[in-house]
Amino acid sequence: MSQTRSVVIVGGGTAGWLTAGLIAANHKGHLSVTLVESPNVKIIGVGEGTWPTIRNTLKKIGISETDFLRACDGTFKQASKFVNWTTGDDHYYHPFMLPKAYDQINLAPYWQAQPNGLSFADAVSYQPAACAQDLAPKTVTVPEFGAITNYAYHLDAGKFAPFLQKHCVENLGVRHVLADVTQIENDEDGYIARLLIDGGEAIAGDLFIDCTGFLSLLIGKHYGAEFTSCADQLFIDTALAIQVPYEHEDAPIASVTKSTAQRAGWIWDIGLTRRRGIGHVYSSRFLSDDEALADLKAYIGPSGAHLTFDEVRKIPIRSGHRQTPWVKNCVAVGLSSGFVEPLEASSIVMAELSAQMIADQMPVNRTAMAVVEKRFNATLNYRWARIIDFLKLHYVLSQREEPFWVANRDPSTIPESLKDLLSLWRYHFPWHDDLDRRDEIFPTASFQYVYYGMGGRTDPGAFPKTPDWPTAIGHFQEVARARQAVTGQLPTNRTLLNKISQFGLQKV
Amino acid sequence: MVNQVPLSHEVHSGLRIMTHPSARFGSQVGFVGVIPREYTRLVAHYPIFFRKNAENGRFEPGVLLGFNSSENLFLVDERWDAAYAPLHIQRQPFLIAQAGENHVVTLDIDSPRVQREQGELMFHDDGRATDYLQQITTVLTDLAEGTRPAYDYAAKLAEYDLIESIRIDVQFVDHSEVKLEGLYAVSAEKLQALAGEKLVELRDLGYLTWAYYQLASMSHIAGLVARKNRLISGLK
Repeated sequence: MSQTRSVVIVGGGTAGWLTAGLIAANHKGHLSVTLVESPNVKIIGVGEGTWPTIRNTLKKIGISETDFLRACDGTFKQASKFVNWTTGDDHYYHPFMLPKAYDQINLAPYWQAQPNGLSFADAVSYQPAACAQDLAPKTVTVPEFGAITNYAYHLDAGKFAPFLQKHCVENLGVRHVLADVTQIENDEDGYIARLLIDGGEAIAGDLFIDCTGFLSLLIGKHYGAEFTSCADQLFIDTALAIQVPYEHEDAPIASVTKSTAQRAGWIWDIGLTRRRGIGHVYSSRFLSDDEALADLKAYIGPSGAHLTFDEVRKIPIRSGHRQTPWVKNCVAVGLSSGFVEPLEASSIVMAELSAQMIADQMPVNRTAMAVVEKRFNATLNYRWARIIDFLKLHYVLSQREEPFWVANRDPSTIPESLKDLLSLWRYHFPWHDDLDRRDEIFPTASFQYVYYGMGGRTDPGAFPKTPDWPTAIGHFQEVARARQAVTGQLPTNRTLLNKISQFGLQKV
Repeated sequence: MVNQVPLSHEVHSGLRIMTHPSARFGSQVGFVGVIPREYTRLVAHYPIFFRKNAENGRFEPGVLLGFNSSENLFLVDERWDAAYAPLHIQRQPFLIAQAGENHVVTLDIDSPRVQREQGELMFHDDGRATDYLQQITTVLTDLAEGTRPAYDYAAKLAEYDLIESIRIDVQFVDHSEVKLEGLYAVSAEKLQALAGEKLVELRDLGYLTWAYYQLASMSHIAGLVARKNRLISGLK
């Protein structure tokens, strides 16, 4: 029986190095990890958002938060802020912190029954208030990866991959091979036996991980794993990305990813330490590139007035995922596995979760591998379906009247699973049991924030038959108190990041 | 409010300083910063911890004097109840400030310690510093020279992961409870496991000795609890 002793990763972007790091850290001394990277491929690196899982991931790999923030122009992200999504003149937050006492009580019915002028997110969490003031999620005395408010990062993906690479090679013993893969050779059972690289060397391995991005060299080109498009549900197919400097050195750094709805898509706005990353994602069915550029320029304002196509990067977005991201001894992580519009920063977190699952369930031999393959594929398909549901939720609740938005509400474009949830939530307040899995990528809390943030309502008849008003009101009051206390204590994002750049954070 | 002015014999010759500790002089502090060159004397009386500077998050050493920020269990009837008081206690109400290359002694002119009738004179009639002021100047110089080594020492220990966060949960004789957070100590386990070049480096820098003083000083936490219990029981 062939034992798993060596793992070969192809592709050196964020997904490749995250996967290398997690596997090497988890199996140090027991598995050899080799990463083969083409010297000729440009990494797709725009300013990117992450989920709070990234903190644990970096910690597991053995990275210092101070080093990471300094090297990758990283900033703190506490929420997504959606502007103009509902009516064209509105905003709401999807914060990372769960609603108050979310493990004990569903506050949604109480919030809806007693309108006090606060949005749902403000009523159940003080985090939107912290975001509105561009605050950091902690103070300089809180140790690395520790938090006062839950947070993730914005980072420069072009710097993140080289940073991870250095750590993986120097501290985790990952072998780094810079070469193009010229040939992929199977054994008699159809498992990949070795890769031939230019220069003639053969790289053998027991498990091969495809992190080649949209190229999808192993899982797509070699194994022909079927690609399931979700373009019928999510219409975005093009991005125009650009970097914009701050107006001055001390300009506030937003602690949210800001997504502003446009006539046929939306614009992301991500603040790094020295610049902002801005991008217009849209559906080319509803908007020409010229119109898209014009809208991007209008968003940027006077400093963007002279932008031309030479200065923006046009990135095609092919929404969808592989039906079988794991085939025999080959598994895809990152863009090679699938991609959807970056509306809720699902890309890096999907790579993390996939890499973690592979590291945790590393099959010791081919018998085990066949089972892990089945489970991995089932989990990934489930996750992609949940992501599509969640992203589509942002569109179906909109009341905007442009053709793109109207088309998005056409029932034939809405997944059945989301239709079920929407029907359910008209008569039931969203709650833990509505989703199937323990490790949901977006918990029901996220659905609550978006559903109520965009004006969704639940039939008052669904109000608890044995209400507990004193408890609910107590929680609302505690949120209000914490809003004062915590926002008074937190420095701004910019202030804390300057301090970290100068003094660093302690490990304890 | 604190109002530090440069000390000068022309302006301040007639003034006297009340030197004893007292609640009315602001001696009710639960924690005070220290420097490593005091450790040989501190270790006989106080638990020596690190805490984080609120402005920059760096570790700085200090001794615990009570169980909240304004409780000083060593302040007993306007007397310091230990044979040695930390330099930052002794220096009151003076400070030392950097002025170019030189250090300048400053005085908190609004401190209630500053008097005309009672207390220690700072200057003789001919303008020479009194023994008292000379002693204060020594204290201030020690502090000025010892602050940087204190930070460097703490930073090196942090770099080698030798500092751990500790929580102190105490129940006193009246069953009242207190939880102290934000205190850090030298990790005995990790210090013991240190080997090779790092160990030699710490020894050569003199940090190893300081680290062991801090470890030894932890036994005074029990002494501090005993002081508090005596206070609660009405014993002196």
